[in-house]
Amino acid sequence: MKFKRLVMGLAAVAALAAGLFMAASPFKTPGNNPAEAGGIEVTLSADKSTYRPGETIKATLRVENNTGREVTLSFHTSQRFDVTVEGPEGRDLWRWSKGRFFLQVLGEETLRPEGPPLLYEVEAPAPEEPGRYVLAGALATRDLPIRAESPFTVRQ
Amino acid sequence: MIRTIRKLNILVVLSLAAVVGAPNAWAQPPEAKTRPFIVFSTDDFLRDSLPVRHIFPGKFTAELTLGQAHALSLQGLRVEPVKLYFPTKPPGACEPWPECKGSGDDGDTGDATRVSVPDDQTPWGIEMIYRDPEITATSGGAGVNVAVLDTGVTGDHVDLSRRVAQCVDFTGKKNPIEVGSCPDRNGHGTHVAGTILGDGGADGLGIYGVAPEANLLAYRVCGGGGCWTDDIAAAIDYAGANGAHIVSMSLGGDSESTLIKEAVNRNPHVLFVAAAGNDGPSLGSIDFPGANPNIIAVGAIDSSMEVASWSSRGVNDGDYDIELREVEFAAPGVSVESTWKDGGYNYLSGTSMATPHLSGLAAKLWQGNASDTRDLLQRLQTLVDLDAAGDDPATGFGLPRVP
Repeated sequence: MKFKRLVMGLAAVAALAAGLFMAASPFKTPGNNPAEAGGIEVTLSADKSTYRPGETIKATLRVENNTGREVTLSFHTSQRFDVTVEGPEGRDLWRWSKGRFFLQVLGEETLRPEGPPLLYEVEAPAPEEPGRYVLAGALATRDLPIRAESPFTVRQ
Repeated sequence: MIRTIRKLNILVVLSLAAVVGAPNAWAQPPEAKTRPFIVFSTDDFLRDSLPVRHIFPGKFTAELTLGQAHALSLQGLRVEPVKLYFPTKPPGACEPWPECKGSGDDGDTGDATRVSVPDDQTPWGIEMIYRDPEITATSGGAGVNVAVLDTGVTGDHVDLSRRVAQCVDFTGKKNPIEVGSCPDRNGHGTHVAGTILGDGGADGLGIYGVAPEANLLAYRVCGGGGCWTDDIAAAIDYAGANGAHIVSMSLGGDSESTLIKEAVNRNPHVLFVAAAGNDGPSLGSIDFPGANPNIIAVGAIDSSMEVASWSSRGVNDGDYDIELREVEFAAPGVSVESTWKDGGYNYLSGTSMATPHLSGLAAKLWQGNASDTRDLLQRLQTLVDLDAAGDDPATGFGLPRVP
């Protein structure tokens, strides 16, 4: 029971930290949540924060290099990213990569310090059931095991 | 006088057709500049005015744009494409059907010119498969049709242009099966095709694949966003109905596609080869469709015959009986030089590159049917047992090589 309280307490701290992070986001969409690791920032921005059931969500996964040096990310296939729509319990309701196969070739993406970010645009369907959901995105590389989240609401 | 006016009229119309292009009914992809047509005429003046290929009794062939061919037909001349399609023959079928000699007249391959030479005409993977480090050219695969389901193919690459028998795009939204179009904007498909059947080019200065006499069925199933599994399944059915002996798929994903599984089951006469995946080294990291036991899954080794760490592993139980999620073979897949989309050459790594080595070997050793060919590959005396002894999760039966 103590362990469970500890976990919940840590989760609360993490949520608070995430809220502060969200407030500092350069993007206008409420709930936008950049994730950063070693100076690489991954941001998932959606066109709106509230959608009608089944409406198309237009989202962009943006990867920026704030390290001051050139960074090369390695990929094991031609897949560069993935985006999911997740329900209240983190269950995948939709996944961009589902139904797709990828070329089994090694590849790289290089981010220059002052260079353009990597941008990946995705269209996802809003769930049919009203409620609160999370749009989550990450690069498909083991070099950067972080993901960005963008909560949204579905209303009739 | 009337004849002279008519001739001048034809010339003017031809010139206009070349500049303006074809009317909608004759619309072609922009890359299809000219193609051979049969013109049924003995008129010397007309023949001298056109880029004639061959002269026959009562007719001649010439390289024309579709607009020019249409303009000639409007002048009352009978004009037909050299490649004739018959109602009983599937659309886009290779010529002569079904032997498919790799005529290369698919609309993409008319102007093959060399832009560079490879670092090695017989890269290390070819030397390894052929068991000959001194090899200077390869041979074999004549009459075998290999469908490459990939990003398309640069059909006017000089090392591939004579091999292209079919060129089909399955990725279009409006036209789901577009015959005569397979542009490779990525380069991956061109690379894979070169390893299977690059023929060194007409000048013999290019790169050689494992089976340089095989015919290429270039099927574009992958775009910028990956490869939709329904496009792949449609291409498999198309391959099975259009003379493919081997289907090579340097692609994969984590979960099985029912569409692809069913398409494979519908075409048991075809030998399927696919990449094991690049998600290793964990056991069971093998991707679909290679994990399907009806498909040969190929892992990757380097020039020292060591398994690449990232090469996906199967769940092989050592019984030499390929079941679900088992790797069957390993082949060269690290720093592989092959043909590239710009007409030159490039180096790539992945089980994507191992797959075409195996597909090419299957074409070279084709036994007349898929099951006998697969059986032969598994029982080759020249097969090398790699990694752990026996049927192992990284290399399966091992590396098959030319007998």
